[in-house]
Amino acid sequence: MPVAVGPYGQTQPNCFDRVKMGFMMGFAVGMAAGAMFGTFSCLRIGMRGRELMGGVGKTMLQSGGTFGTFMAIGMGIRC
Amino acid sequence: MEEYAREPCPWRIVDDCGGAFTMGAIGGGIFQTVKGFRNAPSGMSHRMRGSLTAIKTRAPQLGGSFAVWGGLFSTIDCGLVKVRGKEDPWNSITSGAMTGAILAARNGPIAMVGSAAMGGILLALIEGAGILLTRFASSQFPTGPQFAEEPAPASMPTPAFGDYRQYQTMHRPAFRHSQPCHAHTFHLTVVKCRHGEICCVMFVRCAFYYFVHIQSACSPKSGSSG
Repeated sequence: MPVAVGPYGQTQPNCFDRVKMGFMMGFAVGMAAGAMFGTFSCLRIGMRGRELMGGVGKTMLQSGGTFGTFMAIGMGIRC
Repeated sequence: MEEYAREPCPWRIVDDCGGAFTMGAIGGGIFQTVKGFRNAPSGMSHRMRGSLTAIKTRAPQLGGSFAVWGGLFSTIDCGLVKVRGKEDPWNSITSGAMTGAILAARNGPIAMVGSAAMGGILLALIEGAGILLTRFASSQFPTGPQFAEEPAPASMPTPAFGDYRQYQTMHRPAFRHSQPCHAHTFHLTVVKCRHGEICCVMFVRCAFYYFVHIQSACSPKSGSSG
């Protein structure tokens, strides 16, 4: 990313910080998306009760991890 | 997909397409390494070869589908920017939904609706996260940064494709008197930070970078001096 230097000097954000922020944001988005789509698909295949909770949690973590990884890479390639 | 300092519109398509391909290829490489390793027959050399084969076959595919998504998404986004004359979260959400619908077109109308809903919801989540981050960023300054004394210049560089910053400043009351000291596609804003030093905060179009920039510009260890 081209960083413009202003009259007072621009401090460049740490690359690792940006990747970390990307991961966190992706993880949050992925968790939310996983909660929605996971509930939907788990209900559809007939999970109820405790089993449903486990299924949704698993989907949430999975999609959070995937999203976070991709978002972190997306931030990383633009450093 | 993710928001960042975005290119001006026609070039955004190329930028997003290539960025998405790279992202998909690297991410696919990481995931396929693990997958190929686990699915290969036992023995270290088999597992290594399995990883390599999986990467070689699947990672470019994933990159390609990311690129299709990204390219179509920003094409529609740019079209909407041109048609509506403004850039706001609804553009992204609409183009996410439309991209989903178009890419599922061969599977029939029901699949199109499902895919469109999925794309729309996903992009809404991402935009929502961006807005939340912006709010969080402006709440980082409880007293609000004191602004530099110079009056704002009369002429402000106006971007060719509408003014996205209208939407941004709406959520960021702390920065309403910002003075643009523009360079390239970015707008730089001179603010006086909590720690007393004047710093130039990059006024990029994305809440995300904005937040990081404020953080890094105003922290005592890395703050620049006037």
